[in-house]
Amino acid sequence: MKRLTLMIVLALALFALSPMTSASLAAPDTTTATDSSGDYPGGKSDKKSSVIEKPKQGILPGLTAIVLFLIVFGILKVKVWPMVSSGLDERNEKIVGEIAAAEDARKQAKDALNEYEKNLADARAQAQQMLEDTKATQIELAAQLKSRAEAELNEMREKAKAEINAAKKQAIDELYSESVNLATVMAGKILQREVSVQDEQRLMEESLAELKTVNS
Amino acid sequence: MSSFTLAASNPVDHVINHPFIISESGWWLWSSAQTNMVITALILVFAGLFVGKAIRTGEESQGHLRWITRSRFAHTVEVICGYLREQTVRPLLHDRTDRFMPFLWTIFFFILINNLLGLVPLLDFQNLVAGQLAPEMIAQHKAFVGGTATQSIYVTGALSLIAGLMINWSGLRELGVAGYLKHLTAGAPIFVWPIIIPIEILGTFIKPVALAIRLFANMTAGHILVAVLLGFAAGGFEKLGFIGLPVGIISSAAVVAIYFLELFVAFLQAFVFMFLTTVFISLLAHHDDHETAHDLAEVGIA
Repeated sequence: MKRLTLMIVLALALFALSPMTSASLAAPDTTTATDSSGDYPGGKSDKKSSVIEKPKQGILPGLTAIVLFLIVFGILKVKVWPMVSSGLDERNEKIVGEIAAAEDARKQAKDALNEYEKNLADARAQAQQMLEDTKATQIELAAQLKSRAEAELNEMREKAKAEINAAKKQAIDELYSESVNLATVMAGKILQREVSVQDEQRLMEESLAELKTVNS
Repeated sequence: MSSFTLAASNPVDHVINHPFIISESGWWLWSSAQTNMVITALILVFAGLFVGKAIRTGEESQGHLRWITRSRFAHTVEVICGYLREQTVRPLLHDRTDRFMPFLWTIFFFILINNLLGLVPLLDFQNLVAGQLAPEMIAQHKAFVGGTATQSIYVTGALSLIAGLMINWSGLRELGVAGYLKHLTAGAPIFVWPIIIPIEILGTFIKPVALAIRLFANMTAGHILVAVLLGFAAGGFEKLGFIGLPVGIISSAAVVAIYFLELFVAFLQAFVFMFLTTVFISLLAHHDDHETAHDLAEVGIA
C-alpha cells in the first residue's frame, strides 16, 4: 500500500513538473527554434491536431513494427516459447499424472479396505460359526461324557453290586460252612460230655463270638 | 505557471508520436514510437529468456522442486500463457493450438508491453532532461522515446497486416486454394454469390482493419482522457483560483482512477487483438456452423 501511494505521489509530481517541457512542446511558435517537423500533427501550428499521422510520418514506424515484431517472433519462437510450452506441458502432465496416480491409489486403498472388511466379516462369520460348532460339539461331548460316565457309573455300580453280592454270597457260604463246622465242632463237644443249660448257653455264646471273629 | 501552460496546451500533444530524425523530404526516419518498440522488443527477448528458463522443468537433481516455477514474475507470465493457451485458444483451434501459440503469445505480449510502456511517462522524463540539456529538441517537437507505439494507426495497421496474413495463410493451408475460395461463397446458393463473394472479400480486409482501428482508438482515447484530466487538474487552480481547487482535486483523483482503467485496457486490448485473431483463424477451417457456434460459446462470445 505504501509503495502504491508512493508511486501515485511520484506520478502526480512528475505530471506536475512535466508541463514545463510539455507546454513548450505544444507551443513551438513561442520559442526561437525553427520547427523542422513542419506539419507536426499535434502542435499549435497544426490547428486540426489530428491523432492520425500522415504517411510520411507513420510508414517507417509501421515498417519498424513489422521488422521488430518478426525479429522478436523469431527469437521467442526458437528460444523462449519452446521452454514455456514444454514447462506448461510437463507440469500439466505431472499434475494430471499425479492426480491419476492419487486416484488409482485411492481406488486401490478403497478396494483393499473393501477386501479387508469383507475378509473381516468372513472371519467374524467363520469365528461365529466355529464358536457355534464348538458349543454344539461341547454340548454333544458333554452329553457323551455324561452318558459315558453314567454308563460307567452304572457299570461300576452293577459290578460293585455283583461283587457285593458275590462277597455276600461267599460270606454267607463261608458262614454256612463255618456254621456247619461249628455245628460239627459243637456237636463233637456235645458228644464228648453232657451239656447243661449253662453249657449250651456258653457254647452258643462262644460260637457266636467265634462267628463274629471269622466274619471280622 | 507550468500548470497553466499545461492547461493551455493541446492534450493530443501528450499522446501522439514524436519525430526524432526527419529526412529532408519530411519522412520521419526515427520517432519515439520506434524507440518504444525497440525497448519492447528488448524487454520481450530478455524477460522472455528469463521467464522461459524459470518456467521450464528443472534438472532431475532438484527433486520435487524441479516442477516449481522459480520466480513470482515468471509464475505470473506462466499463468497468463496457460490461460491464453488452454482457456482461449485451444477451445477454438483444437489440435492446431500448439502450431499457432508462438505467434499468438508473441502478438499478445508485443502489444501488451507497448500498451504498458505508453503508461510510463517516458516522454515527460525525457523532456525534463532534454529541457536542461537540449532545449532545441523540445522546441522542434522532437522526442527520442515516449508516447504509446500502439496509439499509431500505422503501427497497429502493421500488426494487423501481420495478423491478417497469418489468418489467411492459415486458412489457405487448412482449406487448400479451392476450399479457401469456396469459403468466400459462405455456403450460399449460387444466385447469392454476386452479393456474398464481394462481401466476403471485403470482410477479409475489414477484419484486420477493424483490429487496427480498435487498438488505435482505444489507446488514443484513453491517453487523451488522461491528458485532458491532467489539464483540468493543472488548470483548475491556476485559472479559477480557490473555486478551481475542487476541480483540481477531483481531476487528480480521476486521473489516478483512469490510470488504473488504462492499465486494465492495456491488458484487455492486447487480449482482444490476440483473441480476435484466433477467432478469425478458427473461422477459416473445416467445420460447420454448428461446431463454430459451439466453439465460440465455449469461450463465451456467442
